[in-house]
Amino acid sequence: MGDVLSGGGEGQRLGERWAALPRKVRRVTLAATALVLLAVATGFALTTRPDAAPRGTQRVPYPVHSTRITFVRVLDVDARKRTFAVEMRATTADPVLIERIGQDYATLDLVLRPSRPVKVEPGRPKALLLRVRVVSCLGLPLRARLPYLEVTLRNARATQVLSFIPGDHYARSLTRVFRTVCGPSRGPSTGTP
Amino acid sequence: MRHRSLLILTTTVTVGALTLSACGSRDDKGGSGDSGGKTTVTIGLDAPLTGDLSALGQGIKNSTDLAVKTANKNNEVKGVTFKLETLDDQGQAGTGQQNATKLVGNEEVAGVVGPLNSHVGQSMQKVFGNADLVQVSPANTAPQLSQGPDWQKGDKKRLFDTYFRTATTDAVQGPYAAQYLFNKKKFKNAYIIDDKKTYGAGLAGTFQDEFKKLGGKIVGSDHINPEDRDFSAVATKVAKSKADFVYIGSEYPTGAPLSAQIKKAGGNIPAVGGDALYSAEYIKLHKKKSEGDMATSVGAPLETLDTAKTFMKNYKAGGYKLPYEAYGGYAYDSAWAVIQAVKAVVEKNDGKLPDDMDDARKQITDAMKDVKFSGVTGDVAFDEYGDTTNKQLSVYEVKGGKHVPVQTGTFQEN
Repeated sequence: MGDVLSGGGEGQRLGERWAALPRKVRRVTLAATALVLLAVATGFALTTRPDAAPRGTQRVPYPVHSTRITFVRVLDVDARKRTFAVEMRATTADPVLIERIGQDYATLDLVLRPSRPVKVEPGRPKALLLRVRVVSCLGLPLRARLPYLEVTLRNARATQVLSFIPGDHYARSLTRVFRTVCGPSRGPSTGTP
Repeated sequence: MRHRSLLILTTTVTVGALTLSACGSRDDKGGSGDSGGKTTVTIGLDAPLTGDLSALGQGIKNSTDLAVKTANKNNEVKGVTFKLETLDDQGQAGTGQQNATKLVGNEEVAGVVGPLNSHVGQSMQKVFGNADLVQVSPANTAPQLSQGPDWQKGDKKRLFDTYFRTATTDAVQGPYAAQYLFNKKKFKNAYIIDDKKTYGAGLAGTFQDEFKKLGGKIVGSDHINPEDRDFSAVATKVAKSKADFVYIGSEYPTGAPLSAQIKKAGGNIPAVGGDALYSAEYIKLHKKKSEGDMATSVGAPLETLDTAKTFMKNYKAGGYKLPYEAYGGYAYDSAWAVIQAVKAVVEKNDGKLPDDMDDARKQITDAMKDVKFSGVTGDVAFDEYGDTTNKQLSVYEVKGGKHVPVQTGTFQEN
């Protein structure tokens, strides 16, 4: 046997003790340590799962489930020009872009003013102004019960074209304004504005 | 030998890991120490489980069963185990009324889910009203059930405090279809047929009223017997008319053959109807001639509802043989509403239901007014008439052999 240092100082250090172990024992110990670490990591992941998992995968709801657009009032009625405005109120649970509002009546021209899309943020209701022009008094539905607005909404999840039905108050207000601009006192309808 | 050592180690470590994970989930259970002494509360279920409308009825039954099982599994109401008692009304008002009497007579019944048909619901209301037993229908759409007979004149009056529903009414459904067809599809001439039943005649009435107000023309109308399957005489009349479409106020067992026979008679026009035509059975019965036909139905398409995804997954896992159909989500929410009302009463009474069942039923009915939760079909709550506050509905068109949503509407009165 040659002149070989087997250690130094007070005795064997950890590395030296490890090296002195039989290869089989070292292999088994390594495998056990790896499994224990894996188990601890798994346990940690399981105990912290409720906080960690949904956050990354959660998606905002479709616009139809997070946005409300309700009728407020009719204003600026101009019987001579057959125009008026409608004020609506938009609220949302998630940021949403109102891209378009229209009403599919052939006798009405209804647009959002100003015409650019309106961004609505949670907790910050937004007033929407619709400019309406009666294109023709002929065939104007005077007493429709549930007129709806066709609205295009876009959020982080999807773009949807939806019907918003503002209900009785909106229907009655439309009836009143239609009678004002197209009623008998306005003279015979010409079919043109 | 080495393999054996590793196996022992792996087993030891796996047991350790399982112990760790068990420790991690203990908090989720809230330390519930319930053992024995549980009260059994029965939820009654009435729907057509046999007969022509059984596809819809079975979907309602299975979905209610899923809600009951989920509540028990989650220990939703501490100290209470829910049980389901199902009764078949076969779509008949008389049978429905007998079932209502039977459910009232069962002292364990704390609330009822159902029925499907409006005329059946109408026959049950008084029985439940007299016994203060709460009823939540997932599918009745006739407005008068909650708003009284003069609702159309604006004189809304609630007749029974015990009646609630999770489905939108025909007061919205009929006019919405009329607006869609007249303004969007530009259909101006309608032929209207109804089966004289509460639902069919009522829906056709609300549709016709709005269609006429919009300027639409009714080029013909007829009544049919819902038991008939030979509609050749009416079909010929419709085919010869100048109608752009035929509106059918009836259910799919009648509506499908009627629409098919109109097409066979040469009427190349779409048939349109309400939620009772929105069923896969309609397309099946139609024998491939239903392309282009339309139906409105309550709610937004379930695919757009994140809240519905768990329901759809659990329904599949539940191994139910028949699909949940049009009202499955609404039936689940109806049952859950009953469960939540029971929960509110239990919590109010120091953790148990009042011993006197009459008192318990009365309190559960009162509690229903304040029930609010995020359900399968969206936010569930009820207005002063017992109607759902979630008033969404959709138009579906048959395309490629299935109902495809083409428009969704939401009623948002301020």
